[in-house]
Amino acid sequence: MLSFSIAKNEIRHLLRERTFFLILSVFILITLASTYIGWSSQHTIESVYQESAILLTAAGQNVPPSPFSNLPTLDIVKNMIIYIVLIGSLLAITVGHSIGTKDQKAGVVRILFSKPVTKKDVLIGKVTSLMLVLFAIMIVSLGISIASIAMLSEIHSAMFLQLIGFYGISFLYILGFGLLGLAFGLMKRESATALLIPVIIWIVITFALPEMGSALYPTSSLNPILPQTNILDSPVLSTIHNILYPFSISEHYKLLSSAILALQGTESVVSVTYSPIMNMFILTIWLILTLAVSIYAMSKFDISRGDVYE
Amino acid sequence: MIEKASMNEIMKESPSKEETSFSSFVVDVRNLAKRYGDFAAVNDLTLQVKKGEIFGFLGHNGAGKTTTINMLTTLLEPSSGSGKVAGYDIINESLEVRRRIGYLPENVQFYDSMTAYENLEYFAKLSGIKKPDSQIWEVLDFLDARSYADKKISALSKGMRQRIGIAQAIIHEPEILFLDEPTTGLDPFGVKQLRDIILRLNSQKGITIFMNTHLLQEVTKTCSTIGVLNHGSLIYLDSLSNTMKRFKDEGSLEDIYLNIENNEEE
Ligand SMILES: Nc1ncnc2c1ncn2[C@@H]1O[C@H](COP(=O)(O)OP(=O)(O)OP(=O)(O)O)[C@@H](O)[C@H]1O
Ligand SMILES: [Mg+2]
Repeated sequence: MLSFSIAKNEIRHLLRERTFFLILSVFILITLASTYIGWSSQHTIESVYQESAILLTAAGQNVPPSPFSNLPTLDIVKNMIIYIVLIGSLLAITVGHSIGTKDQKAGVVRILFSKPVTKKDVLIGKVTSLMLVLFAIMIVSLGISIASIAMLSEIHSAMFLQLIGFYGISFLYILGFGLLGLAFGLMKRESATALLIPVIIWIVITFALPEMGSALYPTSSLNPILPQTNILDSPVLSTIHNILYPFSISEHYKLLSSAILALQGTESVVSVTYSPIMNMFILTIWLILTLAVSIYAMSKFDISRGDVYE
Repeated sequence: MIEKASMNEIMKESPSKEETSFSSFVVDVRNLAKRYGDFAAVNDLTLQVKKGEIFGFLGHNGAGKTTTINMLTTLLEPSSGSGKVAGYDIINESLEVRRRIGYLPENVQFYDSMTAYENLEYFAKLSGIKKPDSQIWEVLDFLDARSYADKKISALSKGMRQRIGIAQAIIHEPEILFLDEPTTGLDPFGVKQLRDIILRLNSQKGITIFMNTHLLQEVTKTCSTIGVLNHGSLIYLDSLSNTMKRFKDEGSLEDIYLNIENNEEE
């Protein structure tokens, strides 16, 4: 009951913050853009193909099949995977950070804990509000995706399930980052450090680990479905890869999402690949770990701290 | 089972001496200490405050007043010693203590983006009041602060914020109210109004007051008992009337207070 009041207060506070709305609108714009870009590139190539097909037929030559004839329609949301990895997770960090630092920034920590609330009540309230907000963002994104697919091509029931699955996984993935933002917001006394640490973790997970983990390919971290040639012939590189691969959480998220959306070209040529179940397992571990960090941060939280917060 | 029940009844009918003495004290701490490494912020503090008193806790900057209040309000765990506030143990029954206390921190702050009403509503709910609306208006009226209700906290002056601070501290009708340097930053008029509020809270609502201050005249004007803390140790404790008898006038009391400071600083 107390946690419910706390969660409500957190959400009210977020909704009154301008930065939150700014990032949210960016995210919505990107969702729209990604479907549009996906559709328009497909559309452009398709129309080029149609024209050349006409020319080829006129010249009496054989017409090769369309490059998109065997692509699933959901291919047009594939960019969303990257946007979740790049922007969705950052958005989640800022939401978590805002929730984690709110009471300290307002200078109400001592008043708050002079009321009959426990640290557990407060943490449950904060985590609940984080989940609700991120969940709402994913629902909005899901709605936009469904609507734009329905507008640009036809949509059928199986695709609904795939999209729900994809956004469900995305929710879990960004929730981990939100929890990190929350945890370090509670742990650090300076807003800058509190934000910097989760962002560094985000950089490591998003860029560093995939680079080293999958083939040291400069673009492999950005493109989930780039067919990869095997450059892991070097034993040193492949050892590094094998060690780091389990920790490349963004990789597991990308592979799992591609599998759920049944995107093509996901078969990785790298020396170790995991089954989707393994990907899911690692994402679960990621969530459990980030939740543990939040619990630890709250247990160390100094409730007698005064109004000094930078 | 039967034996145990009858035992309880006997206990209820004739409370032990220990319990009676506890119940008349709203604050009862023994040998309380807080150490940061080698430094003792509060040292061996033994103190009782009776129900209905206005206790003035006097001390120089850094004497350990805030540290003491933090321990009494269960925000800070003592390094050693024990204590009860409102009849409950400050270490093991902190939630029960918190249900019965009000606390106004030094330089009180609120959620800036919310109105005074919304802040009060939130803290009242955390105090366990399900529908706080009528209580909110009641305390706002009591504090003559009804017109602040719909103002954003950021739009309130220091004195107005202080009243909202008191409102959040008394909305759940606590037994004891802890005030940490409540007059800091108020103009003489604001100080006078605050003093009146404190006296009314004490006489009309029967709330025991525990007030930190480093201003001697504050204590002599409002308090019924005085304690002086010096570098973490309680060096003086007596009722105001005794103190006035002993030191005749405010001037000589001030001399003593200042002399204690200087002697210890040297
Ligand atoms: N977290 C801490 N770590 C180390 N020392 C501390 C800590 N908190 C307080 N102190 C020290 O304990 C002493 C008492 O501090 P406290 O805030 O209780 O003083 P005070 O009587 O309230 O002073 P003031 O009138 O300035 O508010 C000070 O010397 C302070 O430096
Ligand atoms: Mg102080």
